Amino acid sequence: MNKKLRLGKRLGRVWGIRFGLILFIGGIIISSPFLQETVHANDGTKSRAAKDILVQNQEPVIPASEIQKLIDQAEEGSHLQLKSGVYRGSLKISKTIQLSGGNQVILQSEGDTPLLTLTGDGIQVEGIQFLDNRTNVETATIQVTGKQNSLRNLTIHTFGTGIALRQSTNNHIVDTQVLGRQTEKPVAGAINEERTPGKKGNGIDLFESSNNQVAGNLVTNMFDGIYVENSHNNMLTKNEITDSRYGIHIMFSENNQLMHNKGDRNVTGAMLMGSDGSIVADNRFTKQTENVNSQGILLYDVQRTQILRNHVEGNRVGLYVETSEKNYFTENQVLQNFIGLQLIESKNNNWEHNQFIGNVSPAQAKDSADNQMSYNYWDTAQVVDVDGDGTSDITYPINPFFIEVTDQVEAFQIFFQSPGMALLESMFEDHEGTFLRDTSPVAQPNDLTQSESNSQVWIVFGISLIFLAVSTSIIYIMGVRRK
Amino acid sequence: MQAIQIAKREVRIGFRNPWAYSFLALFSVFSLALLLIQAQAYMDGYTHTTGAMLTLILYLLPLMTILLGSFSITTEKEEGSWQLLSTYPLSTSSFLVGKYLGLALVLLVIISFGYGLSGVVGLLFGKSFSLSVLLFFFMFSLLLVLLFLGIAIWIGTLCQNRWQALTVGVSVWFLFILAWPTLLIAILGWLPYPFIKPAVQLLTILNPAELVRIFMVVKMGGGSIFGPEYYQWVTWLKGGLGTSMFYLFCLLWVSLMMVSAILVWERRRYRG
Amino acid sequence: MKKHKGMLLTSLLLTMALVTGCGSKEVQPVAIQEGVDKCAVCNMQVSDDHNATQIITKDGKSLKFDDIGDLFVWTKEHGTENVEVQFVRDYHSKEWMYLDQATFAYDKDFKTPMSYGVYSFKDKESAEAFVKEQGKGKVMTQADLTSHSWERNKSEMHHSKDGMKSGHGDQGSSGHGDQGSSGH
Repeated sequence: MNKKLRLGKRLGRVWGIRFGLILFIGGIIISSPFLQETVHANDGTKSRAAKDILVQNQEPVIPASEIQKLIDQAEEGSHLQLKSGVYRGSLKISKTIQLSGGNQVILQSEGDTPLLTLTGDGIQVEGIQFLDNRTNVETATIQVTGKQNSLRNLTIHTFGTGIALRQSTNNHIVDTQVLGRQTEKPVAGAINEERTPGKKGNGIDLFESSNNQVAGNLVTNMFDGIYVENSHNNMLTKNEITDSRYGIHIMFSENNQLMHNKGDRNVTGAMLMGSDGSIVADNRFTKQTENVNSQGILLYDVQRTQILRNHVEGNRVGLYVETSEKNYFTENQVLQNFIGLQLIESKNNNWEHNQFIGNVSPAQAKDSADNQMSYNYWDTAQVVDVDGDGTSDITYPINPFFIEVTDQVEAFQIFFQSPGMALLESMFEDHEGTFLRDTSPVAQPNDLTQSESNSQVWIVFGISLIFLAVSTSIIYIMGVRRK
Repeated sequence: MQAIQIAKREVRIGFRNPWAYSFLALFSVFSLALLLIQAQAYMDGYTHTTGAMLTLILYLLPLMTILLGSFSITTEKEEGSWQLLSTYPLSTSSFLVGKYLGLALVLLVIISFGYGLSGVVGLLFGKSFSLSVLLFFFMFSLLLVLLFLGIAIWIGTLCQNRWQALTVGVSVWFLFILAWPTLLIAILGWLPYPFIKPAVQLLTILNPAELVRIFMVVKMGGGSIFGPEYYQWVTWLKGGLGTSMFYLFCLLWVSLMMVSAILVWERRRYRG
Repeated sequence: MKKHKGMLLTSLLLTMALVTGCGSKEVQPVAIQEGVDKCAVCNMQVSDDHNATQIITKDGKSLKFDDIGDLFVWTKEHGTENVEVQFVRDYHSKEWMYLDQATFAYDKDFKTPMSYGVYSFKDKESAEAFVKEQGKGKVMTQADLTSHSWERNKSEMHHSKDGMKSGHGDQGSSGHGDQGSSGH
């Protein structure tokens, strides 16, 4: 036997190997749970729905026609306080009355008719739970065609659409919950028709309905959370939409206001298409990452819209803007998205005082050199501020290379942030001046509250110490120490 | 058991080798730099910070592994110790497997030292990694090292001396890490459109750096960035089966490299 | 089951194409993946329903559209030189068929994802039957579509954009929701 090999039998060296093995296996064991996909705990609403259904099964069911009788007998302007209980059937209201359920009234569907139809004006409905068992129906759980109606504090469980407004103006939909009952994931890639109990509907659906207020509602697990088509001057405020396709979807509608809304885990937070003159302000769209086409806010063919102080964080794409002109993007926080901004074939938009921080790729722009972009903060920008005015003296170019390559061949998307890609991009320089540029990027970010609370400091310290100790002792025992 | 002996010997030689220490120093400085990057902000999921860390690790670790591994093997040839060892009843597979294990341990120690040091230093300066990030990147580094060590053994097998190994090693690193997207985009662009995606997929599987990078991005929840073309891949990788299959594939990849390297050695040993 | 149907369908289409001799191209439509495919024009997700349309380019790339109107938007912008074949789907059976062999029905009130209001039918009879059943709309051929104005069903504001800018408090816009289709 080789001399050197025999020396290897020394106890210390054996221990060195063992240490190594422990470190090795330990590392793998400890790491493995962190490599598992984090599962969103978003089933709260669903289990609540299930509980409601259980409760109802134990109670006697009263035909809804009893309420309908009361409604038919009631005089204009009267207030009906419903007896608590579970009702089945549908209600139609065509006169100005007030209907209260005091949160103790549950109305279940029967047959194919909507649970509640409002054809009159000035009707107020509040405190009722709706359990819609219909699937694949044309109508919503609540159909509204009148005006100046108020729906307040309702809960709707539905397989289809929650509330539909049709040629219906000046209504208020407030503090209402629309909870989708379909169990399929909202972002389904392979929808199995045999198992789907029908097509999902929209939470709150406005068609040719203007001047409505939709405020403080919660929509979850629906197709589009709030869908607005050919409807103008509506105010959508403080709504929260989760786990749906598009949170707020505005189509061919003008002068709507979207303020203080929240969207989580939808395919897209807010989608505006063919719509002009809106205000999108102070909204918060986070974690739209699951779908291959998801983004925080998407504008397509949008003009003269103001996008102000929105917070788009942790999305696949923060802001996506295509063929849109004359919009103002001001003071938005675009944080930690995979791509901060994608700007395609858009011009004459104004971009100022936005902050792009922590995005894997801050911005990509294609055929969009003609935008006014200045005073934004880019955490990746090279900043040279000789005159000390707080803005950089060199412009920040937005490289179109990646988006152009992947636009031609989608398969090359796999090179997103591949180490060699940065090199290739840097070789693709702006010789013809066709890049979109921030003419004077801001040097310092603005009031960024950074609350990095690391509760595991001591565990991290301990593990680091073990790493350090074990590796040092292996080095010592195996390498340095002589017999 | 012979393999274990060789592995021990490898570790011993490894830590008497100035190369190991220069890489140790380099990686320590580097992981401290990572700490600085991550202390800037935002570590949750796939962000600029974690993306930058992935990139930096992809630049350094494969190169380090390739050089250390291939040098170790070519040194055996140059200094005649393989010629000596081959006169003993020592099987080629024990020798190469032992080399692999020993080198893996040396690299593991380097990585652990680097992350350990920055973890401890970080705490002293009040800027520490979060636990998940520390372990995530430790795992990522480990995977890269284990896969590239297979390539390193191959380079060592083919090359006669350290100079050759250096040239080939740097070329392989350049091909897999730096030139990869450029080459693929330039060459595959000539293919008819329907063939591009399968070609990209096949080539990606052959490049451990890309494969591990994509796996890690998917695990950080960033899989959707690769777009609709890879939707099925990403969903599959995210799931438990995909993850296990990925690890199995890594194991297979390393085994394949090792078996083929051993076969080449055997041919040389008994014919030449 | 669906896949089998699709395969049967495409092979049928293929033989049909071969028999009629109308361009013996072996181009097949690519199945729509809901939640994955987005419209090549408007970026909306493409539902796997009768409104989905598709272009296969000469280099074999498949472009999907959520509305037949967006397909025409695309061909208007990019031309048809690089287009190998255009597919639409029958309103009833959702079967893929060539655009130039389909018959269409248009009404501004027909609901489509982008409000272009055009449905496709596999033959003239079923299009006519549909229009009769709906009591509105008109039957169109491919030639009619080429000269079609492709206006989206935008209601009143379409005509008074600038007037509306100042009139923020405008009430009761439901009254004139039926304009915008004066072209027909």
